Amino acid sequence: MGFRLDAPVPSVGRPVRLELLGVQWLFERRAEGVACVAVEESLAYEGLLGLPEDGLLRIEPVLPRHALEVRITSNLVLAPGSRVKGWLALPVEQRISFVDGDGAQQLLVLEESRLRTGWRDGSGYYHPWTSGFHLQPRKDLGRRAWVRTFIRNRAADVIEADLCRLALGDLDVEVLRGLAIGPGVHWSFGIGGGVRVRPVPRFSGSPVLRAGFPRFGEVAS
Amino acid sequence: MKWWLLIGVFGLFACVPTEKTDGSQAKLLEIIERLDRDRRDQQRATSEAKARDELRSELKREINDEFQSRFIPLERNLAALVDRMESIESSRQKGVDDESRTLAELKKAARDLGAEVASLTEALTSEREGRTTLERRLTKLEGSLRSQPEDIQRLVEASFDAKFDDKLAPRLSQSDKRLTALSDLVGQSQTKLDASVTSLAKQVADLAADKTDAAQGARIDKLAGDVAAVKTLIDGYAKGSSTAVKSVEAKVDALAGSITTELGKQVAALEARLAKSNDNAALRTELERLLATHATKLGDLSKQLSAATASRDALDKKLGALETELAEIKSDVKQNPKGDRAVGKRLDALEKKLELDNARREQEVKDLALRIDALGATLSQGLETIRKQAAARIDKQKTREVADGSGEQETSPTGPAAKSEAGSDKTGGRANGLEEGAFWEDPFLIAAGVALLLLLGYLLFRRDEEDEAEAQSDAEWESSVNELAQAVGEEELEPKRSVPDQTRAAMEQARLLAAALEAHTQGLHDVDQKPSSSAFEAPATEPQHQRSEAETHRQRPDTRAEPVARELSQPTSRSRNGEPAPSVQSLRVSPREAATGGDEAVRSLLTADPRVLIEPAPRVEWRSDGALSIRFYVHGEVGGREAEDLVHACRELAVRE
Repeated sequence: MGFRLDAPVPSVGRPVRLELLGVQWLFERRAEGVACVAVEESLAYEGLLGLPEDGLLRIEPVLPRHALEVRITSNLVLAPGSRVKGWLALPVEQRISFVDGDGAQQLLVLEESRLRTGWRDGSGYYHPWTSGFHLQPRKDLGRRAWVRTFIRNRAADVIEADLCRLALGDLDVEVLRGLAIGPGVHWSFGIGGGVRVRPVPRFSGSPVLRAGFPRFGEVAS
Repeated sequence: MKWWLLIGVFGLFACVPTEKTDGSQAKLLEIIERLDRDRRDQQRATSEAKARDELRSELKREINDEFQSRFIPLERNLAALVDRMESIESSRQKGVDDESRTLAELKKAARDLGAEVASLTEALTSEREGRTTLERRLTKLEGSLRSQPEDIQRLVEASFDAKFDDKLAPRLSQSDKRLTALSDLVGQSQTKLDASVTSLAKQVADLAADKTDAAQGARIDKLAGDVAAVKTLIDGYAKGSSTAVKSVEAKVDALAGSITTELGKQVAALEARLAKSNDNAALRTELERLLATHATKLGDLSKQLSAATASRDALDKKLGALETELAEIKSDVKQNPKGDRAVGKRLDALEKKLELDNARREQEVKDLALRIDALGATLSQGLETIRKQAAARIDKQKTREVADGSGEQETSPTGPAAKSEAGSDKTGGRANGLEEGAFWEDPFLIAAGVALLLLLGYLLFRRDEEDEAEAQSDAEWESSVNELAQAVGEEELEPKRSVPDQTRAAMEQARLLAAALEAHTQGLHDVDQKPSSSAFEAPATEPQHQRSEAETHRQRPDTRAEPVARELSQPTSRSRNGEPAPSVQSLRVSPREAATGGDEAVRSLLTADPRVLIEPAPRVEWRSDGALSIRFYVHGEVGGREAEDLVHACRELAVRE
């Protein structure tokens, strides 16, 4: 369970305002329904929702559901036996859900406008994406999920890390100091190399991580 | 090559003595002319081959477009048909397919239903027969019941008339007579009485007028006695009359009572009969209810039977349609192999695709073998280095021995190698070392053993190292996020770092090799990926040249995270992970409708719309006849109407206003 914001469904005369990762949401109940407006740098979404009187509105950051094919724009050259670490800036979407006693039901997803989709026989859909290899996450790049990435060269030759395929669609995203933090990525070259992903631990609203870090395959509770 | 040969020949002839120059000059000129002629012929042939290739490429593209626009549904149907036939075939072979089971269950249910229906039909027939008998009896009973009240009425009336005529009428006539006689008597008595009363009244008046003597008093007393006697007579008559009337009335009452009793008996009998008829009505109602229940049950059974039959018929029909379609396709292909060129092309394409898949699998197997070879080559290289070092050490020792003038045998570990007669032959030296010394005294074997142990240790403990390294990375991640909690940095890695020239050269070489490898991999499938060759190069030798480069590169470890550049193939109906496959949208704008610059507008629209897939890439091309061909793919979850809107938008941009 990743980060999420819950708010009661707006009533007449009591609009609901929420902000997540620089996106301001406004929900206002009118005669014709619940007006929904999202503003990032400009108008990102505008629509009319039909919602019952009771229940909750939920906003949560989610990663794109298809695999991301990330092309790293920074030059990363690794000698045999070396490693580098940094952050990748990946697209993050926002999912709006309606929650009542029967559970949460997705209403809409605010997608990343730059995100495109491709398809290959055998591997299915993917999203091409470009990102630099950053030393620290940055707020000035807008709505991004920051993924801590460790690259290791176990091969016998010099390698250049430039393209990585990450399937992160079902993994959680946490929010820390206004930054979306995604799962950890271990990318290794050589025999038995590949990409391994570890889920992000829960921050529980605290900037300090838990002491115990989940091992590979475990899910942070 | 030929020019070098020409220059060589020229140089050769230039070195010949001058006496032979004239004849040689003529021969040389002849050779030059022949070479020029050959070169022109080759150039012409090459240009013709190039034109043929372009024509073939254009033709192939047009055929491909035509196929894409017209036979995608056929492909889908064919794929569905093949899947269906395979599933049917597998179900037939295994005998455990759900449809067969369903069909068997349906047949069994149909048989059970048939048996039940037969039994019910039999029961119903017997019940109908019973019902017919009962109805007949009921009808008869109803008729008799309907006629019974009239009979009873008639009987009652007849009985009443008979009894009235027999008993009541004489008694009534007698009573009437008596009453008449009594009335007469009463009348007479009344007359007499009236006369007596009149005479008495006259006498009383006379007496009242005389009232003088005692005799008159006696006469008055006698008269009073007569009056009293008359009164007694009158009373007697009245009493007798009353008794007679009472007697008649009693008799009439008795007759009426007997008639009432008789009528009550008749009514009771009638009511008994009516009650019996009511029992029959209840029986009939029960029978009708039973019949209705059976009819409903029979109707349900008939519905189930018809549903089972319909399901079986649908299955048969579906199977028949599939078989018919397959037969039609086969017959079309057989009867009209030239006319329906696209079908043949499609089959060829399918066959080719299958071959490509097989080739790709083979290539993957080869890649794996090459990786293994690369690993082996790396190990061999390491062993070779160790062997060279050992040989160098042996040579150095030998040189030192020669320089020292020592011919004595050495007892050092390198002694056996030094004693080798073929010192330069490392293999021979190692063989002699093995023959003449203990194996632990051979540095090559020691080094090789150490390398082997290191390799085994690496292979055994590599996973632990990885886990340890990842745990370390996780700890670093934790610390970095903690640092992030303190302050969010604004620093980014320098986008372009300076790379040492040597490393850059190695990277460039790796890139070239990777490109050659990809060209080799794709060159097996896509003729457009072949690099352009000069007119004099023989195309037949090109793949082999690329293969050699590719194999050289394959000995190096793969430096890419995943092989992203692959051959683009046609999307199948559903991808491996169950997602809906993309749907192709195609549009052709006729030459008279197509607007100038419409292709750029359509291209920009398709590039900007996130619903359009970037791979397979959209194709917006002018055809040779001036038409604009547009083809692109959208996500499989994009609705049909949305896709139609997109196609419509493309058309609006492409057509001339």
